[in-house]
Amino acid sequence: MAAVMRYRTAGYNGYSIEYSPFFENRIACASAANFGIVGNGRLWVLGLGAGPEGIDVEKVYDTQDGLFDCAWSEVHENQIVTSSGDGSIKLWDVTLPDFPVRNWSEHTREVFAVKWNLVKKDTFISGSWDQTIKLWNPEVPQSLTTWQEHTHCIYQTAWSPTSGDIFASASGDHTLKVWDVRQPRSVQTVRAHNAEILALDWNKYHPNTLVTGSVDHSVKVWDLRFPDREAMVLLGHDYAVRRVKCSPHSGNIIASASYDMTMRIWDTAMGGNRLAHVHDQHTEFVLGVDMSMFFEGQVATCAWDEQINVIQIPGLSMKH
Amino acid sequence: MAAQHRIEQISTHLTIRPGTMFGSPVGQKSGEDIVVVSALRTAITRAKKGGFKDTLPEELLYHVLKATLDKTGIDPAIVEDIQVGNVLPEMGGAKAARMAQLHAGFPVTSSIATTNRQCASGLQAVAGIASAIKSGIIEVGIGAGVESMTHGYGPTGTVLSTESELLCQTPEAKDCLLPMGITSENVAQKFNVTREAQDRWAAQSQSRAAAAQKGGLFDKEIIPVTTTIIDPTTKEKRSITVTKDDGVRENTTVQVLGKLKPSFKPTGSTTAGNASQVSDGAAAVLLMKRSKAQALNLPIMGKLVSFATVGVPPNVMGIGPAYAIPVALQRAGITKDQVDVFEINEAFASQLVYSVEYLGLNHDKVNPKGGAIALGHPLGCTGARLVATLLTELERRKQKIGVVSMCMGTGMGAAAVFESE
Amino acid sequence: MSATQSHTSSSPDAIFREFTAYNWDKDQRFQQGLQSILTKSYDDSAKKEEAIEKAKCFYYSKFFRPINYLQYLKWKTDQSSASPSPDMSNDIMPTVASQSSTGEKEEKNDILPQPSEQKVSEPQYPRSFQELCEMVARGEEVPGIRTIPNKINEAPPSESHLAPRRKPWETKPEGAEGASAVQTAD
Repeated sequence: MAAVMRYRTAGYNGYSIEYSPFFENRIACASAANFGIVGNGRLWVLGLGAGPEGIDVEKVYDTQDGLFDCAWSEVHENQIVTSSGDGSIKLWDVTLPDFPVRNWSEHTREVFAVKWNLVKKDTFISGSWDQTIKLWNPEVPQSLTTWQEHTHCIYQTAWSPTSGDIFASASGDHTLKVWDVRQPRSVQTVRAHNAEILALDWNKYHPNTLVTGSVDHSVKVWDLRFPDREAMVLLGHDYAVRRVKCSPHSGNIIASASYDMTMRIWDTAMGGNRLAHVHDQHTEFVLGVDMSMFFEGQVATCAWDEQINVIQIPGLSMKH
Repeated sequence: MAAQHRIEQISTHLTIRPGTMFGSPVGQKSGEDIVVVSALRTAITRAKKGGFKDTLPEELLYHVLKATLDKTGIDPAIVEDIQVGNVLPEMGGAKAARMAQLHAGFPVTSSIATTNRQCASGLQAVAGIASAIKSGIIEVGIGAGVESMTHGYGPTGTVLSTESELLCQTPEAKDCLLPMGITSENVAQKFNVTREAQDRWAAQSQSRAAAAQKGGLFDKEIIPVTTTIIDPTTKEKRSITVTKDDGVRENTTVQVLGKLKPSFKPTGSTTAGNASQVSDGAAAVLLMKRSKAQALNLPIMGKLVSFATVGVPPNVMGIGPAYAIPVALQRAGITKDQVDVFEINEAFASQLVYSVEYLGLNHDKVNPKGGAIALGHPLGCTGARLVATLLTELERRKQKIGVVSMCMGTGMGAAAVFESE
Repeated sequence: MSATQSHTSSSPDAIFREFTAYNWDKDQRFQQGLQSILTKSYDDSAKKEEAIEKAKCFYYSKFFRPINYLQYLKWKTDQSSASPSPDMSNDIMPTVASQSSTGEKEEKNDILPQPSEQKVSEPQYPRSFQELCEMVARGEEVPGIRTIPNKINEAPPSESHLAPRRKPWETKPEGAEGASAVQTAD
């Protein structure tokens, strides 16, 4: 296995890590001091392939409260949106120092999810512990739409990779909901776990397939056409699953990050338990994971151990 | 305050009860659950006297396996493995069981094993198959149990022909050689279980079994078995169909039972009336993952939630349920008060009464259709028989949670929690 | 404040001592994992010992604090060549006996210990996370929080010059499904 590239987010615990959709060597990490319980947040913009351990800092931006998620703009190579513990959403221009170029303060509680629209690239959504989901346009000072239907914290949202109007949300109310931005109510509700759902992503190759991760330790694969039961259960994590990502390169590769301090790669085309790889070099909860769009098999993780690791998963890059 | 709130929120991510050993917790469903699709038994008849006195144990097993196929209509080829609990047969019953399997219509490609955990053998077979499914070794299996005490019981089946002097140096090892009746007397004496309390339980077991039989409460779990019987006087062979447990004595009272002489020691309290009957019978439980059952469109009787075995001192072996049940409940994440029905094997009234009192169980919930004192205790069959009786009763009552438990000679207890659907 | 800092607050020597003194026999989770290591066959007993030591390092790193196996080996060698180390026998750990007992049971003639509570695997929070929680619970002010001005950048945002790059899935849909619009049932 190739050497691990590392960076230490000193003083800040990683919550979310995202590859730039424009630059193959750029990643961003949303982090929070004091494990996100209290204190400041910091957005790190990092360059791969530089620095003593393979990753070097390009920019940092500090915020009053912890940052829990971030999403690169799909239309502007220099812009990235963050979501924060104080309910605020900020848009940053990484060519500028210190302060954001936009700030929205509509959510009344922690915002754990922010996701940029993959098709209609002028909008993004946010999901909050205030139980609402909001749709935003970076040029508009207020949210475009607000949906309130979940009965518990919203932990994650995900856009359909093929429709600019369809997205999904995962909540502490044990449900996964599918939404159409043109509809005032959700279009589908799936009781996906018997516990809080913390993680969600949309399969990039199968438009009916979503993946959830839960406090019940499991990762589940869902086919929305058969919502009465999961298509697959991936078991192996010893604690809650905090983030899942579907591979940009393959319809059967899933990455999951867990409180059990591991990041796991699953191959749903494999037999047995479908576990393809375990990254166990973090020493505390792993909260963020993302897969490179440009280098198949390259995966970045961030964790409460203040460590960012970028690794090459053995075997995954060989396919193309 | 936000900080405190966040701590609480993150704490809930880490403290939630995950699934139990076999799938989702009580009250929840998952495709990963291990479910019971069918649980059937033969009638239980008195050894050497009843309707199965001339039927070989493997023939009983054949009948119950065949009935499982007939009633569910499954393709026999999907059953990858069968485990059969049996205690007495020659060669561990392995050869005979394989014959029963093949004659029942399973293809040669499916496999079978016998298992001996004494009186828990039938339950061990169910748990063994469930574990094999859970771990991915097989997808569909049958946990069964059979015993013909007509054929195997007696000195050769219950007493070691050789005793190791070396092992007997350890007193508790030596205690494994104690006759079961003596261990019952030990329990009665050590824990002050009176003769009257034992007889009261025995009479209740009989009257409950009689009422259940009259009410047709066993009809769903018992498969009719047509077999051959030799008339004891004329020595003529004739065909009979056995559909009813024949050990039930409707008119037994505490007074009648009180007149019986102790069987094991002159001053003892264990009698033929307050101990389990020596019997013949077989039972089979078809298990698979819920997702498999749903894919095959099969009905689901219930799911296995947890299983436990524990050890207790061999000289008071009958207290096994008192120690096994709490472990199984804990593994299921429930308390005894959440249980609707307990099916606890009545090896002896002494150990049953002790276990029920020790655990503080509601008498109405324990063996509501009577127990082995009335119905009989074909050793290897019993565990699987209790599963069939339990799930049928839970379904009839429209109740949810049940426990199967029993003691074992040499000092052990086993227990399993099921949830009806 | 950070977890990593708290790990380095003890000297390596103290950490290794704590590690060797840890009561492995009483740790059910470790013992369970150890079974799978012991069932493998090893060339010799030294290899087996090494596998066990490595397992301990891995486990301790995962649930308590990081132990570098090579550093630990070096430390161990140093220890044995130096003056005899203090006795690190297992019994320095208090015995954890968790028994479920209710009042009504105690009156009964218990001849066996109650079945020990299944260890509900307690999550191991990072040390300083625990400390932080205690501080918050006590209502203490957490030090080191800076005030960040809540203001918008006065400089004009940059212009975008790049066209969005094609996603891998946009160029190679898998199967017919890939091209169809998303279906949403009610």
